Amino acid sequence: MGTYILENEEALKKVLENMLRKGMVEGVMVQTAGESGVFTSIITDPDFISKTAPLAPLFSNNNAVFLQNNGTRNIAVVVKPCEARAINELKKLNQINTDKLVVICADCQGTINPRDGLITEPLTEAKKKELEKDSIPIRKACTVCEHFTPPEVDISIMAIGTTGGYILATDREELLDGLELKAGEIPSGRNAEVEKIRKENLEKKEKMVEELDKKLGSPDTLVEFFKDCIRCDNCRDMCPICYCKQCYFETPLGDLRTDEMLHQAATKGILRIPPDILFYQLTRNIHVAAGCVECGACEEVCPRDIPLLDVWKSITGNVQGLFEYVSGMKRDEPLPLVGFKESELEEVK
Amino acid sequence: MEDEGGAKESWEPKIIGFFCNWCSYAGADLAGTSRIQYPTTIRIIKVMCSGRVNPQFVLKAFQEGADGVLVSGCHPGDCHYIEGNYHARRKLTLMEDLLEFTGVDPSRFQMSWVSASEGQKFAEVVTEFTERIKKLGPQTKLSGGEG
Amino acid sequence: MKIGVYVCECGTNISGTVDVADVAEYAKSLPNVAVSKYYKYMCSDPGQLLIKDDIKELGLTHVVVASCSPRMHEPTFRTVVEEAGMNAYCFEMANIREHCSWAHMHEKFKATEKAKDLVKMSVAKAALLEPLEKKQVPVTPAALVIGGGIAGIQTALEIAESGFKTYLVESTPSIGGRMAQLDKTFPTMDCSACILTPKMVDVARHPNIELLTYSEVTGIDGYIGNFTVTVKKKARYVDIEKCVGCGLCAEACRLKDRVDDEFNENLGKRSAIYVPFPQAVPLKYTIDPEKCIFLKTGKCGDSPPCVGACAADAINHQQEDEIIELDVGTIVVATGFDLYDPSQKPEYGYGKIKNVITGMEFERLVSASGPTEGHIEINGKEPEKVVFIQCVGSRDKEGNEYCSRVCCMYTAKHAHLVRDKIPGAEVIVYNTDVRAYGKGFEEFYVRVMDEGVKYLRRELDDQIEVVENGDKAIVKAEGHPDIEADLVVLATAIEQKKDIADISKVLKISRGADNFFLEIHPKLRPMDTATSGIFLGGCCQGPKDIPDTVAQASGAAAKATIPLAQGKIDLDPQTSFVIENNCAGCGLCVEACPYSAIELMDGKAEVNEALCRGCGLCSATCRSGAIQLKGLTDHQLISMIKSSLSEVF
Repeated sequence: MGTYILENEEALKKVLENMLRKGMVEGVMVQTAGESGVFTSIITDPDFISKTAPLAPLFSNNNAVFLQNNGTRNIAVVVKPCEARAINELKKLNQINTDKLVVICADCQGTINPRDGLITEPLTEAKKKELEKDSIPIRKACTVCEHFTPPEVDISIMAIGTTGGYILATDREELLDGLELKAGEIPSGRNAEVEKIRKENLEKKEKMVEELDKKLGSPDTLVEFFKDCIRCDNCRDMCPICYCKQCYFETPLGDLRTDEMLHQAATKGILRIPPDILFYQLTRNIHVAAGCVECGACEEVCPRDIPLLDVWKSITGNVQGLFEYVSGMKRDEPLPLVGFKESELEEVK
Repeated sequence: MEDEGGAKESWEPKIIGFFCNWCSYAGADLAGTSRIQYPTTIRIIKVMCSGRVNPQFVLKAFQEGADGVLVSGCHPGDCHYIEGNYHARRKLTLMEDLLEFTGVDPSRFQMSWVSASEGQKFAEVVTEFTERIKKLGPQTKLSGGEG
Repeated sequence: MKIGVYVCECGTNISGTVDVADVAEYAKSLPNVAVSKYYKYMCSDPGQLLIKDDIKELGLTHVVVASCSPRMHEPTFRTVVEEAGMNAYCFEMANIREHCSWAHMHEKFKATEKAKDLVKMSVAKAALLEPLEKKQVPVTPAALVIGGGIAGIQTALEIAESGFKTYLVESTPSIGGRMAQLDKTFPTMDCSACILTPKMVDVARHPNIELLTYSEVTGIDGYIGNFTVTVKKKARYVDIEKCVGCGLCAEACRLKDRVDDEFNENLGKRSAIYVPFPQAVPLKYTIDPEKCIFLKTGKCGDSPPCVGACAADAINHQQEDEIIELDVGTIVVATGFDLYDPSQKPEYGYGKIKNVITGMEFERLVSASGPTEGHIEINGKEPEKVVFIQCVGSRDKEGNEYCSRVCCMYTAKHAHLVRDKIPGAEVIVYNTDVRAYGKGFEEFYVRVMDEGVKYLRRELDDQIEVVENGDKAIVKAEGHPDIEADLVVLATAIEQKKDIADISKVLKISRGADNFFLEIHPKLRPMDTATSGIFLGGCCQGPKDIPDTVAQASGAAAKATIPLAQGKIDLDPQTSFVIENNCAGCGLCVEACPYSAIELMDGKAEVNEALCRGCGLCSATCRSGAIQLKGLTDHQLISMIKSSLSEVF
């Protein structure tokens, strides 16, 4: 693995531009600071690279969603760790061909929903304090994030532990062809710093889960929790791990017609519409828990502000913990729900 | 314990069983053949393999008003389809985890290995499960009309 | 849609508990039910006729029979409806006997209510059943027999005699197996080699048998009628076309008399180039790659002496493993057994005390072809007092719980042989229940006792210990005075092969709690495995003596020959199918399928119906319901769930 010094974000842009100019990729998916704000774009003209803000700490949705069924053409993508994990998870599910992607991922020190503020410079501890003063919130998902460093990707950009600038690490040195980068080293204090942040976030997460568990321990609270759900299905559509072409809830079995609703109403005397809210959410839990990357996109896109992330944090931790699996960290490893160990779960008698 | 009066003197749990054809369904057959008596609470649905049980079926059963769900397959290592019961065990353990979160008491769901020769065990499992569900009372969390 | 419901009284088996008239009346109220009747015995001729007449007269599209377990009569009724022109797979059964009337004999009201529910569920499912077409596939007219012991030999000979090509694959250099190691056979005391060797020669000569020794089955693909088997022919480093079996190479080998001889249970020595025993079939030499100096170091003197000694120029140290593929229609597994290793129980002193040997080691000591040419000796002396200990590694709550079935009789045989060869010797047998159940066994046991062999009984849980005392061993058995013996022989149990996990993985057949291969029905189908087309012969299914092994092997041969003789087989149409538009091509079903029956083709799952066994693992794994199992779809199952729980339709 080669490790190099990137003095600043501009140096990273050079890397992107170089890939485009050299034809290593046909496009770069990256955040751009345009006239209408900051948005994710695909750039094919290298001259546009100067307008990009690859490390802008913004997150409105998980862009892995848009990489599903990527075709046969090479592109580079600059993504957050949760997006990179989703890419890896989708790779295992044959939904993304990572051979055609150059995944570039940087340490993430938290993101902001663009509707709360358009910040383009990467977050640092100092910057975070500033935001706090301006009452610009860091996304909840980020405050409780345990995996904020790059998972298995093509190019990792490390910020945590460095004193200004970044360290670029890659096994694919051919991607840096033509660039004259200074060799660097992964800072020795990085691990300790990463662990420190992880510990803080973990504590917050545990508190969140605990509170949720307390809430859900009493009767009928799940109904209460989802009472505002209007089954717009945004959470599903914007979830990178909900990859089905045809959702169960759009098949004749799951998409209830009035006859079926009458049947359900008749068995209970009353049926709430839209129907199957709990069944829908629980089904999503079953389908997604083992692969959830806890990006919080579902919550960001929920028009009724249901704190979906809390639920996912609780379930994902349980399920992935049960199978000693952390989704999306690697590109090639067995998926927990189609494998098994003969010796596991022996409490079943 | 004759109950020919016919009236429902007390609440009876409704239990759905998903039983694999080769071991557990046969074990339930053996219980009958051996005239081993157990509560009438269970309705068994035959599947070829416990691995056929989609966790969604369990949720659906609870949603439709089941008070308990029992999934039963061959003992580990004995699966007619080599490894189906291991798959079932993983998938359904995940399910069980979820139940906790829904507020449905996870002990309303049970997985048990019953072989074709374990008629007695089958009857015991159903009897004990029924007793447990009776103590828990009717399941309303997932079957309420507002869900 | 018109569904007919038929409720069986089963004499009084059902009607004694369940009010069948009430159930039949109730069924009439269910959706799509056109007719509902009850009758004394639905499976009898008049009962069957009742159903057939209704199908014809009323044009029924689906039939539900509420009676016994589908495991009992589903095939019967499928045939009935088919004979009346209905599709066999539009039939559904409700089990109101085993699962209802017999299980709730004192709760008539509740049992009747349950029976109604079971009928309701079956009707709900039946309404969703679609006609399925049976498919036939041709059968490759050849069989594979795995294992060249007496079971494999017998099976191969009988299949070959029926006129079918038979491949016999044996992992060691010669066929013969365990039986070849035995001296005499109980209770008749026939010479084992004398009855086995001619059969081995028959195998070699049979025009329909292709013998593949020193070969291993490494893969099995396909299904009954159409298996593709991968066989690794391990390098023998000897060209068996050229080798004439003269043995000059073994004489010349620099490791002559220096390599442990496994055929003689390591009591004798052989060369690095060897035949396991003089009557080996084929009588072709093999170089032991673990031992041969040249193969291990690339050098053996100036040139390997074996090469120089071989006039036929048969030795080739450069030979490599060869992988071949065989197409067969059926497979018989006759992989045999290993023996319990008594060093796992230190109290017997085996491996530490020279005077303690196993039954199989005794067998080699007493054999005229063995290392002592049949002279029983220990530490160079003929023993005067011999103690046999039975049930070593069997009937053990912590180990093998089963009775190994042959040890009582082989011990009696050994005791007899000691008395025969050393007339003055004192022979004591520590036993727990002598099991002399076979033909001529009890008589033999009585005869051995009459010959002066002393049988001492001990309980299985009683302590027993063997301790060294100079050149003797003292057997300390709880409740008995200590015995100072010259020789202690342990009757070790038959066990599943030690490398069985590897074999199982290739065969994909399951094992029981005792680790032996599992037959599908212990009484009625003792040779069938759960995988159609794969049968069991001999001790791989459980401990057996030679007559039982031969009987089972012949049975397996007959079973394996049936599909070959039929020439074609029906495939169960209840397989998986893909709803292509719904498939995301994620491949979870491919991963889940234990039979590699699903492949991704152009980003969509595709089921090979011939390989699919209908377990439904794929369907339970698919998130969007894009892969379904015919006859057990999500829709059908959910419909059963719903109907069982709701009072309304």
